[in-house]
Amino acid sequence: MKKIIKIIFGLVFAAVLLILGTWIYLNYVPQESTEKKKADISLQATELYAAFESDEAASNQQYIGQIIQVEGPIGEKLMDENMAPVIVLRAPDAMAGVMCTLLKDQLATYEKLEVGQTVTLKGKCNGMLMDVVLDEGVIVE
Amino acid sequence: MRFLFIFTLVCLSTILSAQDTYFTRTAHVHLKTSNRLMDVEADNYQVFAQLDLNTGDLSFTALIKSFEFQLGAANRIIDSKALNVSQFPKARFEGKILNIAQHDLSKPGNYQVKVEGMLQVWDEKRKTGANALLTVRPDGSIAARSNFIMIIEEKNVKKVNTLMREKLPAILAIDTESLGISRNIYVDLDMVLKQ
Repeated sequence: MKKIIKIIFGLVFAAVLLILGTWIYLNYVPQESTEKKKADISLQATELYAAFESDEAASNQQYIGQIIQVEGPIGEKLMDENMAPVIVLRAPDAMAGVMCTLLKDQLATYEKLEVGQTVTLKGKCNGMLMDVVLDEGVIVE
Repeated sequence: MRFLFIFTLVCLSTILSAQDTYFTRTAHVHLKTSNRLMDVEADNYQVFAQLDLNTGDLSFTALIKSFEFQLGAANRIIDSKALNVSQFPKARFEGKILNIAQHDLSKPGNYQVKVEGMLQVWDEKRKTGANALLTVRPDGSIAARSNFIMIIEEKNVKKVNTLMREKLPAILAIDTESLGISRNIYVDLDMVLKQ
């Protein structure tokens, strides 16, 4: 009788562990930060924008989901609706370029940067809207 | 002389019409859908939106990969390189403010407007209408808020749920009918447009 109770308790315990593990996996397993990820590609912001502008479909295939390191002059600094810092790399006379939404922990470094300054950013490429869009960005230098 | 006059007129009209175009790179879309177990919510802060005050033309475009899910597992799926969205990387709305002529949007204030247009997600195009609140601010920028329900085709619901089943570890043995999305997706949109 005692043995059956032990088996039932063991099964219940295993089921609770499985449900708990599933719940934690679904909700809380953290992703690796962009800072720790190695860039798949490094290039100038103007090169990346030109690639998308000349052939968006091919560039979608090549770049979406990749970690890209880009260098270029800061054309615009703004904060998005989530209060995350955003940098647009573009020449002063250009309408569009590469937009990178930075991780919120980059705010202190972001505040020290000035429009016109050349900077290197690393982020995940999501595709192209008005600009080529990078997300989860970090300031490399 | 006549050529010069026409050229100047064309240039002026282009400049004037450009002045009435407002845009933002960082509009916000919040999506909420539910399943038998929980609500599935996602935000996208990288939405490009454009509003032409002359014509009432309104458009916004969001990248699928820019959605951040509150459910960590869904986030990891959308972030993974294995999820190829390059065929349909964007969700797009192109429409018009129907009653823009009734309002003088040059003055600061709140304006209730009606928007109608075509929403495209993946290969699915759907006529969509919604009420929106435009707030013309004293600094000249325009804040816009709207919410509507997007009903997607059963085949696209299945596509998402199948994707979750494929990408989640088999050991979890999750019923994606219980964890996936439903056909009704509640959309909240807010943005601040500038010239």
